[in-house]
Amino acid sequence: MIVNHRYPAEQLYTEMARVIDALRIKGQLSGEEGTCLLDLLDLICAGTSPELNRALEQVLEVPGNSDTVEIDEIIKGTLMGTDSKSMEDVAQAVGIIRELNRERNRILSDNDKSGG
Amino acid sequence: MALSPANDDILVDLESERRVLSGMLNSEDARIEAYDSLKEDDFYYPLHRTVFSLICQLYRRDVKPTFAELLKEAQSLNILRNQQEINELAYIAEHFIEGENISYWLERVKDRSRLRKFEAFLRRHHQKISENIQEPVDNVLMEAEEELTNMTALEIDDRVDSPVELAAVGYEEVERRYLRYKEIKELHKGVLPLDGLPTGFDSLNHVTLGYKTGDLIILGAQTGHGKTAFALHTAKAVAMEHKSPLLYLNTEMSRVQIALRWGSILSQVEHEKLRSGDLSPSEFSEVLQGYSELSNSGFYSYPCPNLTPEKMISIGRKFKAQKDIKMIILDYVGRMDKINPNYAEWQILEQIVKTLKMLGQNLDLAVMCLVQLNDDGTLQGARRMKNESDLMLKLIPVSPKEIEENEYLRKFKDVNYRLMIDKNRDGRSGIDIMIHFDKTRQIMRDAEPVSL
Repeated sequence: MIVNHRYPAEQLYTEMARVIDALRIKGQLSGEEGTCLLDLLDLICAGTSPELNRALEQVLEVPGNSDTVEIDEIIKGTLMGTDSKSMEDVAQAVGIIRELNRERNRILSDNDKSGG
Repeated sequence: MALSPANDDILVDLESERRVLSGMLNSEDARIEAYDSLKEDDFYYPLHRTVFSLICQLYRRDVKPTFAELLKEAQSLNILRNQQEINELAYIAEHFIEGENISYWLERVKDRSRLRKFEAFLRRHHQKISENIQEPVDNVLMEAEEELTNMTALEIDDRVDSPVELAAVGYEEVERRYLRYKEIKELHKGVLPLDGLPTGFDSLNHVTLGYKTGDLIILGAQTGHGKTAFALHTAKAVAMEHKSPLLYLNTEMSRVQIALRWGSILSQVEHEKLRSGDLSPSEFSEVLQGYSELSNSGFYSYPCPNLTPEKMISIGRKFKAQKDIKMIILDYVGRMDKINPNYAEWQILEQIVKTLKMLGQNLDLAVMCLVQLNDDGTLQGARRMKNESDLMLKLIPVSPKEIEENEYLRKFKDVNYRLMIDKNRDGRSGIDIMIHFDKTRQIMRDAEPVSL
């Protein structure tokens, strides 16, 4: 019998990938969305682009609302159009996401000010 | 757990199959070894066969086979759709043990596979006997013996050619050469088409018909007399002009040094100028043009100061699978790490050369190995090296005094080196090819004959 000597992180990784795959099989994610999330998962676990991790964390830190739907879709589109194997592509995506997040935060803070 | 051990654990080893696949997912060394030594049907479980095949597909495309990549690949092929299969795959991915002895588990998988083939053989022949008792016993036994002999051969690829098979091989080869000869006369107007990869010298092409797959080519030269220049000249002919992928292993130069050499060779600008940066704008432009040629070529470089025979086999297999390389050049053998420090120099050289020969034959590629000649032009361990090689060349400087004294040498305008063909398994040997070696630009070519 094989004994697992690895860290729980390894199990967390496979579990995440399984959830993404299961959602795709059930049709709750499209093939492209599933592929994008699996690519992101590998990228984050490999730790090759901490900047991307940070940029995505910053987006997720503040929940969006109906006013940020459009910008959230652009962020999603940016991620889906990024070749995760190309570090140049990833770096470019990080720049775009940071820019979009600034705009997103501005919208959310305007909402706060107007009491929306 | 997704799969349960089979009832017959003499014939099936679930744990070994999982360990091999887990190793392949997590370690490149394991991938190289398993890719090279296992086949899909060595796995008992159909799911494991599928996973092995998926990993191999990703590996050939130089994609790291993570669990997520496997899921993506499976989705694109519309396989691994049920939860039980995904669970098994996740189990394999999660249960990797660092530093695992992959060879041990590979052997176990291979052994079980052979045992299953033996069991199938027994069943088949048992059924045959019960169905056809009229067949002469001698025939039954002979047939079984032949099959069993193939099964017990140490390597699955080992085979003994029957007279019929050998005659067929000979016939095909002569027919191919006969047709080629006709083609030379009719289409190429007497110019010899090559059988293998171009050597970079017309006269050497003519004598050898090119470097062929499985060939071991040994090139000897004294220190500072063009070993690397010869290697890169060959690489230029193969990987740039012929566009065949080639792996260049250099044990003493850095990647910057190799890149600078290419700059000089491809631009024909003096090497010293490249090193100092003292270039005119047009020279600078020539150099950039040269690098553009390099970037579109099939030249893969692996500078490795601590190269061992094992590492060489591993990297050779990897590049064969991923880039379909046609040739490996090892520059040079004397700098390779010792396998056993107690071995004498000639024993080490002999072992390396044998490894190179085997590598070329197993991977169907030509291997060129550069060695250092002693000051007197002899080669250490020469006899053993010569035995293993298919083509043995020595690059020897020609002095002005020699040219003065030798009438034949005076038939060339600019000869300053000769390439001595010491051994040629497939053609003429004991002859010299006259070379011009421009050291300042690191360029070689056939020496130009004096026009009459």
